[in-house]
Amino acid sequence: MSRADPADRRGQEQAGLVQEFMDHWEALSGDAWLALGGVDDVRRAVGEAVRAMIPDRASGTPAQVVAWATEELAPLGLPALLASLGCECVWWTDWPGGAAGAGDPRAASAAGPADEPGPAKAAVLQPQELAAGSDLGITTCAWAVADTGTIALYATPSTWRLPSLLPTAHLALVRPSQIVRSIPDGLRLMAEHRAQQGDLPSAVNLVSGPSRSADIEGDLAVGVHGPRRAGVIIGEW
Amino acid sequence: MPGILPPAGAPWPERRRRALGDPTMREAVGKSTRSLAEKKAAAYAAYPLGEAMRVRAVAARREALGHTDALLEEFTRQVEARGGHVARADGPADVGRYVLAVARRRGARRVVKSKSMATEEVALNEQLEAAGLHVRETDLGEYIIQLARERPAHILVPASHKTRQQIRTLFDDEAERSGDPPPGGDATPELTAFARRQLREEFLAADIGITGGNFLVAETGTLVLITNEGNGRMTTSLPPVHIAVVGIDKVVATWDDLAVLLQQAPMSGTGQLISTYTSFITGPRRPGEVDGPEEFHLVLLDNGRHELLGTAYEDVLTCIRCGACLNVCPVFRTIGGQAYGSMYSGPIGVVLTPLLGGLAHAPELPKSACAMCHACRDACPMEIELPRLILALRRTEIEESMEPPTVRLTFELWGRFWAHPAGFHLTARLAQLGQRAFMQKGRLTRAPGLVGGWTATRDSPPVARETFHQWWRRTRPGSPP
Amino acid sequence: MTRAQLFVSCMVDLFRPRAGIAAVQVLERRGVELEFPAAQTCCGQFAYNAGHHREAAAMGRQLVRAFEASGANGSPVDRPPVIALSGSCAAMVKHEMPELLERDALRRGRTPAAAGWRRRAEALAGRVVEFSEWLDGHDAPAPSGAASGAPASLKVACHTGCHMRRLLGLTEPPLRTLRRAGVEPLELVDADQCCGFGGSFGLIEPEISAAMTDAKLAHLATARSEGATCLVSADLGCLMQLGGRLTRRGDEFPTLHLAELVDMADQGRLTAVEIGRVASRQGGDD
Repeated sequence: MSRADPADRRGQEQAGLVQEFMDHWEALSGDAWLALGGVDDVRRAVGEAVRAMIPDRASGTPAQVVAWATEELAPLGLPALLASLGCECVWWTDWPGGAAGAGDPRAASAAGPADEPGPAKAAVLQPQELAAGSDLGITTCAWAVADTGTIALYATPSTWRLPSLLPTAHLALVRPSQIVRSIPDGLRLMAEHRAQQGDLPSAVNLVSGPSRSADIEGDLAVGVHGPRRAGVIIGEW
Repeated sequence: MPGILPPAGAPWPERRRRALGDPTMREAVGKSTRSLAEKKAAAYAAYPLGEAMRVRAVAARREALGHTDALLEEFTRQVEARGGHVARADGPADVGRYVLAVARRRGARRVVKSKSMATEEVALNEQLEAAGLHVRETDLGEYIIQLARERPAHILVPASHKTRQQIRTLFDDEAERSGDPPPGGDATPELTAFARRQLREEFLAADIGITGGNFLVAETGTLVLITNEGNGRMTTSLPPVHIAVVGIDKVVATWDDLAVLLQQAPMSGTGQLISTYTSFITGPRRPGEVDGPEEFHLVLLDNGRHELLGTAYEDVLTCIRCGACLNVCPVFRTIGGQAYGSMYSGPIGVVLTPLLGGLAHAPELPKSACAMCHACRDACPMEIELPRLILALRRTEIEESMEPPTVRLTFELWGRFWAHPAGFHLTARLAQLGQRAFMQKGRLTRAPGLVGGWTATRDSPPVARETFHQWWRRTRPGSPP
Repeated sequence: MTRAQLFVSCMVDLFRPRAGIAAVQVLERRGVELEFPAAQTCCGQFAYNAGHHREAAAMGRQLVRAFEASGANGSPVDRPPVIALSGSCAAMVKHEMPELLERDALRRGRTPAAAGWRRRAEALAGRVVEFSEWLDGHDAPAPSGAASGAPASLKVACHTGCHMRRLLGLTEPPLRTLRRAGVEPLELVDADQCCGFGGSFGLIEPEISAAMTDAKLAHLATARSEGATCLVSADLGCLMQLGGRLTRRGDEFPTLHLAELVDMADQGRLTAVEIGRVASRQGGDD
């Protein structure tokens, strides 16, 4: 009677992990937003994050945001949402549901699977150029670690490497249930993924905050090569 | 047989003189080492799981040593099964040959590099530049050193001896040379923005990306890269070819082993619980992927490592290149990294440099770069018995007659005399009688021979008019002899 | 009466016998029946750390023999403790000697004797106790009021050498000994950094050694500005390094072996003036 319901206890533990993850992420100069109230709450948080993380552009040019085109992100309706924020959303590979949004680089060419890399085709940007020319990259993640403020990104055809690396800012959407306590716990999840899929991804990147260096007089320099700003939205959608 | 290391540059007395005469460098090194040592202590104090993992990591690393060949074979199988290539390099020329062959086949001209001790060991940049390739270091500290045409001052913070004014000057010169806008100031954000712009262009134009590797996981043929800046990810994501050069000592057996090892380098090196970017690279891009290298090559470097296996020195191969020993070494704090004449400096460098390159390559390091204070042993997360190994190298140098004859003779005579009371008291009497000539104001200020090394920079009390032995015999007659 | 043997160390014997004399007074005052095995010469540490292991082993064997021979009933069971006036010499005997003597016997082709030498060295190692550690185990803790004639606020800078600190793990006993003597010990900033002595390193690299010492002396200057009246150490090697560099730089700041300070405290003579007087005496004149 007096003992807490196991589900409550788990909920409390998970809430603890969320808080610790955010504390560590922010201590590493990352930005964090909480949006546990459903799809609309997450869309609200995306708006806040975009406004916070993309510096004001020179007059006229909208900001360019490159996003993973995955089932997981589909419910958020990013192309329309970003358009309403004055941004152009771009992606590589077909968007789930087949809707071509504003700025779809594939609209100009025949639909089909992602092109093999090769010489640049006129009017169709290569993935590298797409990401390099973006102000913000939006991704989800495979798992996250509370102890260290880390998110794990698996490289696959749809969850490609560059959106979290080349743009000036990177925003990752994390579900609370994806947050584990320690790095070894995360590596166990990676082992499960490997068992299910038959192999590890070709690249797994653990990201803990924005790019940093202490090479100039031991002074902290942020945004040396990778993103200057790294944000997470912890949300349920 | 031992490996081959790049030459030390100037002879030891010259390197020492330059180091001691550089107050700017010494202050910078003093500050950075202290700061890093404090951060390490704070990290382990705040994260008990880190210490628990460390103990298991030591065991995993030592266990792997006993199976190095089998692990390297398994690693190779796993990489090749995924379309990657593995090559073995006995020494520097093998590495250069392999990389140049890939470059030729691809028609490659431009190379970007992420920091790699192994590539410095084999002087890969020089080999590639000699063949007409453009090579750019992309680690901020290594980029600064490359522009300055200098060697690193510290394994983790290679430009720690440079002030921001000096860095700005280097960047201004580079801006002029390349026709790009200069930093405009010496504040950290301005200098950083300049480097970011310059190096971003290099990444996007590069044909080949070359990295080192922190660990190799045999279980899946995975390369582990630990970085903070993002240039490691850039180098392994943008160019169509990725070549990693990694020492054979970096291989671990399983992901369970890697799990306990992964955070030790960031925790011990910089006090971070994990580095900003940790990358696990398992082969080239897979079918359907839109980024990542088409070709993945891993060059396994021996260069004197294999022959250390099974010897008393084998544990040096468990080094995770964290730099913790550098940060507590009083000699390193005094002379900085460049004085060692090797890419491996500090206590680990004192051992690794002669072990990899041969004692004749760096005979001064074991004798002259260590005060036997044991601070390094306490600091090493892999519990490498550095003082014991340095002592063994000193012993070997003597056994191989690498000591000046006067020094050898002094020790031999001293040993012979002092092993017996009569000899001991005779030398005391001789000193009591003869030392006046070397005294001023009651102190020894000039002494002959080896002891002259003491009086070069310090006074010494003279041998007492009455030694303790003599006092006891005089005041306690009848005591047992 | 407890019995004990005294291991002075060659440096105290030759360069600062008054520290040995002070130690004798301190120990006898505490009821120790002290024996000084006169056959002792040197533990061989200097040669050992320089890599000259033959010479070090020869000296080591002599030390082992010296402490085995005993005037009283020399049965192994009641071998008395060996009180060492040097932390680094105690560390040499306790940590390096057994393996060294065994290895050297093998080198000399004396294989049957090798295990015996190891055993004998281990027996000595088990008996060796550093001076402040012995006092720590023997003396009552410092009373709340001043125990001696010294004003409670008399401050001394204290340096503990690397081998005593890291190989013997003895950082507290010297500090507690000083507090029991009625003084306030001030550890230097960066207390665990080497003073620069470093054995043979200090002889072949005098400039680097002196630079390390100068860094230490900068912290000593801070302690002096906080009121430290002298520098004390349980290791004469460190004391000679720091004191020798001070006087070379024209600075006569007093340096004392721990035994000298405890002796003065015992006699109620622990004042800044007395400290200066004791520290400045040359050679062995008493």
